[in-house]
Amino acid sequence: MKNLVKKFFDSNRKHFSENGKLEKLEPLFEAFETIFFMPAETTSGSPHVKDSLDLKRFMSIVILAIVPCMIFGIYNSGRISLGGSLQNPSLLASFQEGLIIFIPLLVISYAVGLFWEGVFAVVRGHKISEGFLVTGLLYPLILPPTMPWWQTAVGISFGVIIGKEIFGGTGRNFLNPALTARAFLFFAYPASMSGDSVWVSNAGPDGITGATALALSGTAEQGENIASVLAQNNLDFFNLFTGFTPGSIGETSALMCLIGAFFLILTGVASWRTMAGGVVGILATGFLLNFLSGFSSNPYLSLNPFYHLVMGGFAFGIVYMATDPVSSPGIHNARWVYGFLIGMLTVLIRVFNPAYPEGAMLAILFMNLFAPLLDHYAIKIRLKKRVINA
Amino acid sequence: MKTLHLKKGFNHPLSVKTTPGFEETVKPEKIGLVPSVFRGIKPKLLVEKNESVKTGTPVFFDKNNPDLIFTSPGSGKITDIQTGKKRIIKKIEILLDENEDYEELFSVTESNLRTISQNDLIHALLKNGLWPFIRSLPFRVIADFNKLPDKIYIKLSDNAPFYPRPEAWLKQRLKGFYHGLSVMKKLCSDVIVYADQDNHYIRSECQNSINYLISGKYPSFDPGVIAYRTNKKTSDIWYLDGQSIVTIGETLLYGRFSTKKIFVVGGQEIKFPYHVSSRYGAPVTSLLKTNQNFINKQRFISGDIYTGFQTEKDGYTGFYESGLSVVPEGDEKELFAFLKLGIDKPSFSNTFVSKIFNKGIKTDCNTHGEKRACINCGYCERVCPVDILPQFTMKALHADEIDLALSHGLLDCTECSLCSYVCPSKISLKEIFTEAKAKYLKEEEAE
Repeated sequence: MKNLVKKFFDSNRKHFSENGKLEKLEPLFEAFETIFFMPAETTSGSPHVKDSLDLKRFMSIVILAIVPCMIFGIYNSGRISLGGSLQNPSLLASFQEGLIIFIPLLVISYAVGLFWEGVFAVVRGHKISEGFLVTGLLYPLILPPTMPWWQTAVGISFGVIIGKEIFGGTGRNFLNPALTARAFLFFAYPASMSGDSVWVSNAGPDGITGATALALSGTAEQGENIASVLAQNNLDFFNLFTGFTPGSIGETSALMCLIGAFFLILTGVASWRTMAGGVVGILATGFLLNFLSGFSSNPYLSLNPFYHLVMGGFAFGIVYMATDPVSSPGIHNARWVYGFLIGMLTVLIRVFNPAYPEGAMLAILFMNLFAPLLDHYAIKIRLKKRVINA
Repeated sequence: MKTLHLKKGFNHPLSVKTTPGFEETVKPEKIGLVPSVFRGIKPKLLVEKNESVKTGTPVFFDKNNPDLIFTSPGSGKITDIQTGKKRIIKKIEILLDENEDYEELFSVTESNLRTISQNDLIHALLKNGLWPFIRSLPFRVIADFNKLPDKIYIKLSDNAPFYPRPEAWLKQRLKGFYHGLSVMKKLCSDVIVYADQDNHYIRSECQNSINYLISGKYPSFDPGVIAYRTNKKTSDIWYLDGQSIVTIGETLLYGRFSTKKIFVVGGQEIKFPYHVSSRYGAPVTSLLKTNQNFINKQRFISGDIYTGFQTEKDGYTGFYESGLSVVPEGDEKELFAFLKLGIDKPSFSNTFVSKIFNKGIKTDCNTHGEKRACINCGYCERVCPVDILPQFTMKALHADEIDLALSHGLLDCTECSLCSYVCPSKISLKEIFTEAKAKYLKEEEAE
């Protein structure tokens, strides 16, 4: 097997090497080959040895951490579209339906995204970075199951080009590309991204409403208790935590995000400080609003803050999006602040801006913009302790 | 005697805990000089091919600094002088005579040391070719004898793979060691000696001379790290290792160059690292066991795996380097490397199962991945022993913001190479910092 694959690459390399017919497409060939083979390149000079960790491994770990969310998301979106708890579809039927929903979106995401990656790599003569493998998987998971395919393609194009490539590609972008793509869709095609009907792909005759917890909370009347409104709609805390609820494909289950978070923290690939900061931010802001609820008629203020952790895309966002090392701060202290502010903004946007039911996405993108500033001050504080030798 | 524990850093699995053994001495037929190990000097030859030299005869000097001479560590005939681009001297080979013929050098005995002036002592060290042993922080160049330092750091142990243990080079040579120490104390009142906390031999033998007992991960024994932790200021410091102190002491006591040098040899395919007693300029082959066979293509590194320099099997060891690390090249493609569990893959990160079952770990010189842009993952910062923010400092240098990089602590960089080691984007951070430091030094000198 190994020799066969090797032979294939060796025999085709000549077309892509200098003066070959397809010389310009060398980055594509290289990207394809390195999926199979770690190059034979060795160190030159000190240090003579290098760590076994590379970006491919790094990104593979993130993808592995997303897998629980993906599998559950496939099942859940299939199950909801087959009628949810009213019909109680079988596991197999749910998965089948889920795959029909998810696979086209995933294929579009990877195909269109990698096309743009390839175009930029060829034109600019750089290598294709592994970062997109994560972006391409995250993106369909934060879309509603009914997302039109062409809009999916336009969204990922925007995310890759404007969110990343025009700044120089992975490592030089300051926004999370997957979230940039989603934000673009959110503002460009609001009809496909919000409302009650987008979360269920073929609303059956039973008239299942696909209202999400966020939408119900945002529209609750004065004097209503949000927790009981949610419970009436089969959205009690346990369901929200486990994720048997309508929502974007991959982000309904806080439990699966927790499993992913555990894996990411265990491997040290994502920052636990960002995640912890986010949770603290949500709870602190939530409790503060509880405290202030007497001064306002908005029932959202008195919602138990723990609901904010399990509703909508916060859990998914703080675990997989906010921890993107490129668009988040690099200094430990700054990561705490960054996470905290994401949590705080998420709650504030949800509670005080009914036009945008989902606060997590905007909160993360907003804090992406502030990440360099947070780093700047965190570094300044750190350098104060230092004696400069010059 | 104070203790100092350093948390940051990384112990490479290649550096096994077992105490290296001792091997029989093989007397080399040839020795070699590698002038490139002397950083920042312009070597100019004083000898020609086929000329005979004695042990201690000047072989070349620094063009910028004619008082700084480098002597032959053996007596014999110069058989080869290899030059590279721009007539850089790559190596000088000397075929050794049957009997050692010593050049008469300045001797400074214990009684002389009390009366000799600092200037005369420096002069003696220079003339005897001993000065190059003394290097200075932060640029790690040979010390400037016109400007005495605040402190001198002397390292007796190291945990870099591989470095000889004090019992190997100090036994029966204590007289030379103490004399060398007195010489340093004559040059600077503040001499700081440090050693491994776990080494009982050195603790009992040199109890009264040791100032710091060090524990922690590599590079906790680097003078730059110790200076940063204890002194904050890392300039105006000279540093040497213990073995050099012995050589300096013995040379001054007896008036002839002390040629003995202890090496330690280790590597992936060398099951048990071992000490071997040889001499300055020893060829690589003389340090290897005659029955040692290597399965893979090997890289021979004079020094440790992080900071050493690459030599060949028929090459020579460096003046400062007392380790020989033999590591497989690893220039082979690996199928689906990033998907493997990685039981045998060494890593600083927690992304391989080798973190749990670290048995049979394989080390080689493969880069284990391709170069990519920095993704700000922060592994470099986690490992940096002197709290530089390598990823930000690198970007500052990329933008030519040298002042910003200096404020980050660029000059504190100990060149331990761990940042380059851990980087998943395979960025040569250490190289960038070392080059920036050298450029800065050049500009400083030009002013």
